[in-house]
Amino acid sequence: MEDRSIVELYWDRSERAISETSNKYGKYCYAIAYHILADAGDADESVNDTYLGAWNAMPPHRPSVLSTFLGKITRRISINRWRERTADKRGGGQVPLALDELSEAVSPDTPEGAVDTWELAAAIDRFLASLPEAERDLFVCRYWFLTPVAELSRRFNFSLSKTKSMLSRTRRKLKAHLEKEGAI
Amino acid sequence: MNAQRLLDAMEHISDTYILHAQARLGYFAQAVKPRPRPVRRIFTVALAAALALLCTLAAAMAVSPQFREAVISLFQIGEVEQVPDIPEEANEVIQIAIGGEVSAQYVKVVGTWSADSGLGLLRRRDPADGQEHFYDVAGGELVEVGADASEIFTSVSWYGRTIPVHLRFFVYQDTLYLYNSYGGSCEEDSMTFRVDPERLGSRTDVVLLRGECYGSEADTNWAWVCDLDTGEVRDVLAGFGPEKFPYMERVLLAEDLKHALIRGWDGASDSGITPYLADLEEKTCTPLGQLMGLDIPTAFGSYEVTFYDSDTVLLAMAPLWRPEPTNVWAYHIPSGMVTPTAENEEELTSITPEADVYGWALAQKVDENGNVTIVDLRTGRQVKLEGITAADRCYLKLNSARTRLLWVDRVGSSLNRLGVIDLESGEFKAFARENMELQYDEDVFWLDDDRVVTRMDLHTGDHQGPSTLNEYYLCIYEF
Repeated sequence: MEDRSIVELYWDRSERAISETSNKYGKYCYAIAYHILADAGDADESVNDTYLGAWNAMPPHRPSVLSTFLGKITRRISINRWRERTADKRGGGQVPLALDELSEAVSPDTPEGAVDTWELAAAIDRFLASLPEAERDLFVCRYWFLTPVAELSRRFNFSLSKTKSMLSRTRRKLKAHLEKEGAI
Repeated sequence: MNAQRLLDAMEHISDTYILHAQARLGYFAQAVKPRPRPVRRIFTVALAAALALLCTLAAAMAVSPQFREAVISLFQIGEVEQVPDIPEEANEVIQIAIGGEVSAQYVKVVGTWSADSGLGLLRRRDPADGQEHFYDVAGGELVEVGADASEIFTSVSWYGRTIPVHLRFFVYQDTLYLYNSYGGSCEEDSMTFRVDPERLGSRTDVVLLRGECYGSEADTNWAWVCDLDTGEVRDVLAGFGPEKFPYMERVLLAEDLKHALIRGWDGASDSGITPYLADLEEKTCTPLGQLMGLDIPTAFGSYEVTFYDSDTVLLAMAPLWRPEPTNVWAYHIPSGMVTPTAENEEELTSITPEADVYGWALAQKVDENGNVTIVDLRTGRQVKLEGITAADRCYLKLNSARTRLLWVDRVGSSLNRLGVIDLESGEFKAFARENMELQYDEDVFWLDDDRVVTRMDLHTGDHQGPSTLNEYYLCIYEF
């Protein structure tokens, strides 16, 4: 079913919207959730919560790209679930690794409220626009989709060392960019 | 500002970048198929040792090409392991037997330990100097091995640069351990040239030196081998074609060093990246599509090639990690025979050994009820596993010899039930675990082809940092 028709089902408050979403994007959302949570049961719950989030958001929202709209919900819910789980002493997944890596791109001296999340996202957008395509894709796959480095290595057909090296270089460039823009 | 804010802000980046990345990952919306609904199966009997089957399965399949499907029935007979309490003292090995079929050795260890290589030894990284140390569990104790490792200092010449290589290795029980080895790199004009040593299959006499050049202008790859007796480095790809390619992706070498698989671009504007089979003895390099009589598309992610063994190449279109239906062919190099081994298969995913992520020789199909069929991608033979599922919290792991499957069933972060399926004899040994510390994360790996190791992180959820104390409760099961 076309995305537009699925969105219409949400606006019509048809419960078929959920099954159509599940059919078309269930696997996609599950992959995002599983990379973050590394637990099949938790990932399933995140995907189900994604459908609920989409149901609550449409209407009034009418997303132009349904996959990224759903992916963002799944990502947010899964990261929040990971945080709850970490507080509960059950960590795991790709988040701690990604956070450890991203800590190289931030400055602990910058006050937390110096820039808001949207300004920071806009600065990251400008940074991504400056990157070669493969480098940008790799960075987004790692830090948006939280895909494990070994899997990225295989999917991009890069060696593990090259994948790590490219990501490291991009993080250094991101830090320089954010410093230049006064975002960190 | 902390990294969490950066991770959160990433959510709001442009859709364009997310769409590009999801295409790279194989998430093409139109092709995404529904994920099988997880079905929670209730096992009425506790798992355990078992058996069953068509005991001459492997032989029958070998002699009869028509016999392309078989069934292994996995009858469960109750067997329960009482996981020993975590001891106060480290390095003390606790040995138990589980129903006479499986033995287990538990040991608490302190430090950064890992067991995921699939090669047979436990590893500990010394935080003081970053050096790796190897341990075997023998005679009820942890024994360090490999202290007599050899070293080779050599170099390769590439694009006029000399790149140093340092190899540190030892052979233990016919397995090569290559560690704390490094290739050199040099960075010039935004270009990086680096060489990394790797094991070459099960060879103990040579190592592969993988070269990569990347940066702002061009990317390419190369490969050499280093003889561990003499330290001599051989340029196995030189002089017959690959050096003319402006672009090459990762090179795969057959273990017998007679052939290489090269994905490269010949520089013509109307051609793309296509796989070539290089004959390293005859010094020829021929497009694989020409040898196999197939039209191989060149778009990113449209195909994947690997060696099944030294004589057989596997070609998949689309690769098994993609959501589209997959076709796989096996190409027997000596005879030139091409065999389709998977035709328009949906929901086919590879099962790769930990030690070889490129070795997608076996694949699994899981139906909507979680029932599993194993597909041998060289022969096309399919073996249905009856009585277990690979859905929800259950999954399978393959050993390096591709002869045994580890079946894992989790509860939360812990491993609730474990079993090993022997694909040749059909024997299934499994058991449930009791008295587990459920608050800890636990992972599981093949330690070698016959042993499985579980690793319980006794500091699950603690913030990681340089001063963090690492402690693990390891168990080595011998099936």
